[in-house]
Amino acid sequence: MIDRLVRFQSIKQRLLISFAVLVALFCVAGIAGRSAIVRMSGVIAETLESVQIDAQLSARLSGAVTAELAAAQRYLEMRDSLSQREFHARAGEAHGAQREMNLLRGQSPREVALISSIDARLSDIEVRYARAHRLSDLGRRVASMGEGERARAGVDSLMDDVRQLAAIKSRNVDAASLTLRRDAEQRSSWLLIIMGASAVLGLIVVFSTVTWIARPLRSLTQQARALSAGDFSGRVEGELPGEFRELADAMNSTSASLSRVVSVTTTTADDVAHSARDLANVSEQISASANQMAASMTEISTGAESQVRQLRAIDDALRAIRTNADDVVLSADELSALAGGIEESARAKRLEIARSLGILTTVRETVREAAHEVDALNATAEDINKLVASVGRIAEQTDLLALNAAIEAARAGDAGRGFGVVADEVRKLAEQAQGAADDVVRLTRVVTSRVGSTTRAMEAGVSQVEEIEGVSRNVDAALDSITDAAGRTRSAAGGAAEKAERNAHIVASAARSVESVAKTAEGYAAAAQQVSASTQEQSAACEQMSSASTQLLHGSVQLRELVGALRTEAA
Amino acid sequence: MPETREGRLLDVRIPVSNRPTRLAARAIVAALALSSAACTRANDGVLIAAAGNWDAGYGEMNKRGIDLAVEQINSEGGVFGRPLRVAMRNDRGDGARAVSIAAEFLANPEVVAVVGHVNSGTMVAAARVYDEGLPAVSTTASTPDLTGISRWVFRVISSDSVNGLDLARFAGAQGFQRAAVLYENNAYGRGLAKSFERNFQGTVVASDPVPSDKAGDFEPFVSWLATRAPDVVFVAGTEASGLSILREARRQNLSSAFLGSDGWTGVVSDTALSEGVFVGAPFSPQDPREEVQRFTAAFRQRYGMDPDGNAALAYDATRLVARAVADGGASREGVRRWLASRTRDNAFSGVTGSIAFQSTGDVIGKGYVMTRVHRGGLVVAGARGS
Repeated sequence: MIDRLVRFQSIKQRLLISFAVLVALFCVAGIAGRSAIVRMSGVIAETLESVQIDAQLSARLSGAVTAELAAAQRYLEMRDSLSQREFHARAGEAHGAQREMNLLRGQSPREVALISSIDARLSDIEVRYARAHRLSDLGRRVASMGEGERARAGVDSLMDDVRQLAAIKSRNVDAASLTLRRDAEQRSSWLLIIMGASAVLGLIVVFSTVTWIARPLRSLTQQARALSAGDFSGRVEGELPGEFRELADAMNSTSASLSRVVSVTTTTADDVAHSARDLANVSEQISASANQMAASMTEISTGAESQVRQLRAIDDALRAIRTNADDVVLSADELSALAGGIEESARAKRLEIARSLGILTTVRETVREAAHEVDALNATAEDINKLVASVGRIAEQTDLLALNAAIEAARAGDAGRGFGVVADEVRKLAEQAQGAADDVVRLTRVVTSRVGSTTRAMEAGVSQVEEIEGVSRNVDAALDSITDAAGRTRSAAGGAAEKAERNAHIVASAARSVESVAKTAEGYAAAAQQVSASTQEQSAACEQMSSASTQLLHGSVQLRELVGALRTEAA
Repeated sequence: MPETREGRLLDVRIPVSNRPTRLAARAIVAALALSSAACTRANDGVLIAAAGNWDAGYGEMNKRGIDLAVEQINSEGGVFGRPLRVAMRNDRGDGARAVSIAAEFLANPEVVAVVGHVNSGTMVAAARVYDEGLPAVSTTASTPDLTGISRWVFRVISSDSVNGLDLARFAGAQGFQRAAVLYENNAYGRGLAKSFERNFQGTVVASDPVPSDKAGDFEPFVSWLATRAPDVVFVAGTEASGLSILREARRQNLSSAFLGSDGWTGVVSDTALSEGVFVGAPFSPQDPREEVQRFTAAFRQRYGMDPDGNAALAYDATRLVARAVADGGASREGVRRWLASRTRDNAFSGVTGSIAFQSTGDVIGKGYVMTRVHRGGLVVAGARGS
């Protein structure tokens, strides 16, 4: 029954779960019972409290009304202030109780109507008594008595209402207690039902667990008996608890593996016999092919030796190439050094030329300055000429004056003889001055012509210096391009050396590879000789194997006869 | 507002008070609340509810105040740009009817708040239902029994216990030494008289219960007062008894001054009798404050009459609820939280004064405007109390 609802893995799990469910059920029953009792007591307390409040209010109301009316009546008769105060105080109390009742929850319309009616009647009676009191205070006794009578007339119906309300309240108490009793009975019967259900469920759990264990145990016993009788064909099938499932699986696999062993052994024996025959044939074939292989190996060995010789020749050639490459490297280094020397000396020359260019510039400047000086000298010579010309003119005038004076002196006769001498002397002086002036003019002409030739010589010098400068600059440019070319040559020589070195390395490694190939080829030759030897040994072993397979064939036939006696699943 | 002016509390049995029904009601309310957002969006406008005794004169004034407020709110663009709609129900001052109306509001997830009820008795009865989770702002229920009745219930009128204090202080300030008290023998009258007597600094020379209808015989009470010659007669009641008392006093040439509470605002209907009477009212159309004058003018234009305290309180309650929905969110809890968080510092400014709440749901320090009847009108005679 439970098995259909839940699939259990093991007996332990089933027992644990079943008992957990049982315990949970009892716990639920216990908690439900407890909470039922707690709620019950809460409800009882609540009900009792509300009933109590109801009853208290009801008692307060009827007590206050009674006392109030008594006080009102007393005042009417005795007119004492004590009664008046009591009347007011009790009225307040009665209305207070009535208001509290009004605010209570859960009252029936009848109760509300009664409370309302009590309030109305009481209010009316109070007003009448108050009026009667005032009439009495005013000394109008008759009117006061009449009003008092009218007030009292209403008291009966008021008290009737109060009594009715009290009756309703007491009925409410009865109803409440009845409800509580019913509630308690209901709760207790629910509790009983839960307990009963738990007990029934417990029984079901125990019974089904027992049958669940007993059934698979029986089939396992049967299986064990069959195994001991040598029957491997039986199997334990169907749903089993986990622990039994393991046992059944073990027994099933024992049966299965035993029957598998039997059938495998049978077929193996057959196979072995067959293979033994094949083996004998094969070993003979192998023996033949081994002999062929030995022959081939000898050929391989011879080939490998000739290969070694050729490789040695290649190695020698490679060595020669390497030597040449080293020479190339050396020449390239020399070339590089040479180019470096050229570059160095060209650079030195360029420095010297730069220095001489500086000197040439200084010379040119000096010559130019000298030319300027000569120009200035020319100007001075002209100034001298001008001065000499004016001296010449003065000399002519003086000469003319001296002539005139001589004429005058001559005209004067003796008186003028002295003066004629002076005039003559003046004329001589003028002539000398004229002669000196002519000398100066001559000299300056010579100076001027020399200055002119010096100027021309200098101009020629300047143009020559400029030519020298041009030539020097051309030399400098040529040296520059030489330096450049030398640099390029050097780097080219360096590159050539590097490449030659790399080639030398490659050649060296090629030589190494050739060496190792040669060694390997030698190894092959040796190995081929060994293979050839071992093939001959193999041939001998094959003959031994052939005789062993004949013995194996005998054994397998005996094994098959033995296994045939056992019963298997397949049989 | 008196508890028993018209209807009387006949049935306060509250259906939701028995446990399974209440649980079921809660479940239904919760389920409906989940879908309420979609519902309110689907419908046009924000829905609030209003309930009161529309049959009585004061109820009619309440309704006018609510209608005017809603018209103004909608002409100003509504709430969240959606029109404010009001579901109006008449409880006829009957407690049982009030309870069933409250249950209907509670079950309608669209209703986010209630304006009302009007009477003390109906409000006390319905408060039990609103306690399940619907904010309600009573307009004129002044009974002290409402104080702290539920965290979901608020009121914009001050409690009678506060009003009695205001009236007693005012009487003292007017220089009255000897006071006589006449009270209608009902919850309203008794409560107010008790509060007045407790707080009056002078001597109370008489305190008598009087009939609460105009047909009663008031002669012996007034005659007795004539022999005691008090400075002031405080009447805790309505104009029903009030006019009869005044008539008897005039007949006997009683020289005492008369002082009435908000229940007496109706005595102005008899211009001659009521001349010179002091009335403490929650509102006066003569109040010079600008918002009061604006409201009074709008009311006059709409209804051709002056608003009274009932109309003003209902107007304030409606605008307060609309603001609570706009600022607190269109959810019941949002409205409740917004209302409960009104303090003196962030009070709502209404025509009946600034409105803030105590933790009990009572309005804080609002008090009365003390007025004196002059030629049939209530003329402001004293500053707002408290």
